Amino acid sequence: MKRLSTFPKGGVHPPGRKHLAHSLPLQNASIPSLSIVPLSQHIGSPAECVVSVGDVVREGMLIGKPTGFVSVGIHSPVPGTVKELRRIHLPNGVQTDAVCIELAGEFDRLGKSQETVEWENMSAKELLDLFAQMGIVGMGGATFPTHVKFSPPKGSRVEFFVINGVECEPYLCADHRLMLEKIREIFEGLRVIRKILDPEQVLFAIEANKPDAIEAVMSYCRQNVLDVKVMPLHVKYPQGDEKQVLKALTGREVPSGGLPIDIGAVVSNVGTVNAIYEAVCLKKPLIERALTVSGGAVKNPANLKARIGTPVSQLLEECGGFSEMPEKIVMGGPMMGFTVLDLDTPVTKGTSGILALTGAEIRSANQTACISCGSCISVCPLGLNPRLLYKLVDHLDYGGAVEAGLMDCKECGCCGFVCPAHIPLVQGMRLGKRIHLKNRKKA
Amino acid sequence: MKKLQELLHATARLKLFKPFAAVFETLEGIIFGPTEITAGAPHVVDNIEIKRYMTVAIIALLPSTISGIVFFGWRVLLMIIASYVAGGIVEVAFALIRKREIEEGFLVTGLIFPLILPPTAPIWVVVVGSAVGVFFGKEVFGGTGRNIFNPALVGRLFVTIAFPQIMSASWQKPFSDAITTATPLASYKSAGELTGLMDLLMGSVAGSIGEVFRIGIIAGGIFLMLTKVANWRIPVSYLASVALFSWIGNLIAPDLVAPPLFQLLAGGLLFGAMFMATDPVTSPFNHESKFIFGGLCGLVTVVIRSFSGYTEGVMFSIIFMNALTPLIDHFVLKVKYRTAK
Repeated sequence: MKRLSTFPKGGVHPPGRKHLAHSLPLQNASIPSLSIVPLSQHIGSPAECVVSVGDVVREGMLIGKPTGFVSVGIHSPVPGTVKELRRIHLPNGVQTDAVCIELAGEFDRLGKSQETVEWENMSAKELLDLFAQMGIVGMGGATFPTHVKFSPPKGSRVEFFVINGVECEPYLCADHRLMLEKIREIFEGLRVIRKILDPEQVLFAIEANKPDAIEAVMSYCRQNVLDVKVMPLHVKYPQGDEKQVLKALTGREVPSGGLPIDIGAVVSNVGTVNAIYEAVCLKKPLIERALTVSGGAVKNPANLKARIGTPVSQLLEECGGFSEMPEKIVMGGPMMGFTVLDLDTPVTKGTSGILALTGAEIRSANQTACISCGSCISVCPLGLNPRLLYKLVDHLDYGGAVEAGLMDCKECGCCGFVCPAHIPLVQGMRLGKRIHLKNRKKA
Repeated sequence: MKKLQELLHATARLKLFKPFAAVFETLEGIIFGPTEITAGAPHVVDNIEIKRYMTVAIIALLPSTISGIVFFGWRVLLMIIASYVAGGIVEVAFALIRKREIEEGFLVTGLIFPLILPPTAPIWVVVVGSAVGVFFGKEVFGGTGRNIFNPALVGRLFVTIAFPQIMSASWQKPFSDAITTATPLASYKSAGELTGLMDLLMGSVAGSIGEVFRIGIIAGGIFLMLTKVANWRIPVSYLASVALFSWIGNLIAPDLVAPPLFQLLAGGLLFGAMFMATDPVTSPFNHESKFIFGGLCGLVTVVIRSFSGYTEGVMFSIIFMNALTPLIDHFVLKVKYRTAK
């Protein structure tokens, strides 16, 4: 057998635990009676609210308009009336205004057959504007506005476009299910992307732990004679990260502080490509997303298509509640996700999963002294020295930490995963990065 | 289980046991597992922790320990117990004063220390050495993870210098009560005599308790490296550099420097390279500096063995390089990040 490629440096193998949900088809989650729609669900400036309390909104209506270039629109996931504007905390620490919409009235899309729209004669510029209007962001978790990502600087050439179906986070299977169930839509979305970026080569990256998805994508490409290179990858975390997946596919390294476009590549998650299809061909804004509800404490794990704004508690309830008391509830994957502190926290565009984890799964342990074993250095996919960075941040030497590469840290969590002393390395990096950015802003 | 934990809590709260809070905390940690949960990512962690690290190290030391008991009799077991008790008292005393948990690193130190003593060493020497090693080697620096020198070696160094007669004059031959003055390295130094390689491997020659059964050491060392508890870079570079420098030295001055294969197998080199130089706390953390560390350890070992009054140089070389560890790391980092920019 041919050796599958992967990124060379570092990486870890957390227990995958994808079997809990990977064979379950995507189902529509029930519609929340009260949707809480945050206005800042993306990187960049938050959308500006264009509704007020008491307004009647329709499904998919714009309720937050983009402000500036790096911003996207926010739409009402349900028809109903605006109940209140609330200030909420998202699990990732963002504080934002949220529009609470009480369900009422008739759906415009749900349960109705949808026509595809002719888009072929739209220009690239028009398509990108449409993305911003429709609220398309990267669905892998970073939620970077897609129209910004797809606007490469003048003169740069897009050699590779990569569809990222790696899904390296344990537990999560939403992308896996999309590749199995929405394959036609994904490749239709790819046609839109080809029109905008005109890449020389299209690569489709899938980790080898999803053989059925690899097979499905390959046979689809064969049948339709598509010029797409399907690349199965050796399983290793954090391969789903842009930089790691590019290194694995092309052998090229994104320079420190650079973007994939610096090596002529653009990467998009399968979820994003699917959202692009829906936005362009169905004129449907980003108001729902596929996510996995899983974890040892969930009674019936499931893959759901949930409306943005659905409270976490409702999704957990829909999955039969807890079979045992969870030790913690996480939004996103277990390696990079955020702890949910309030069960009313809504699903946002970046929520790839909701996990209720048991004590046996998280295997937490008390922090002990660093024995300089060097494990964190061996696993860092970026070749950083987490131990040193943590120490510098701990000693308040932010300048020194930045010099040693702090800002390159992706917070992938490999170092925190292996540390035998259970030092909160990632938290240290996060803190250091935030303080450095704050200091820089001040200066 | 829950009830037991509550009982433990209740006992710990009694006034009488107030000063021993650290002991109770440790007990709770060992029996019931962790008490804290972080809110931050990553939410799952690997199944490794310091206790497990130390357990693996102890398993790797078992062949040497058992062979020591078989070769030199039950007295060895007594020495190990004495070492644990003496070092343990110091450790617990510090934990109580500092009001911190008892640290696990001592489990390995307490076992290694008697293994690097001559089999004839009196029990009181074991007690003094172990206590001094833990006290001056570790606790004065702030405990596990903060020490500069390998605590077991500090203990050994102290008794070597304080009681030279006991530590180097009389060596027991395995499986007998016969006392000889000559370890293989010593007989090479005095008479240019080479011991057979097979004798060295099987351990039928005089030496410290843990260092003679070399097949067991090699097996334990490979186990340590496979489990990644010890980093392979240090033993490999250490042994390679001993081989290289003794080969060069033997070509130039054959009457001073012993040939490479004999050097590799004689004395405490294998034990030191596998179990002591690889101590993560006192060795460098950068991959590149590990090679430098091991290489220099080898050079110092060969130099001391060949040109000094001492027959064995492993202990000195590791202690010496322990002191240089932060410096090596510092300069390697400087070079590394300059090229990265």
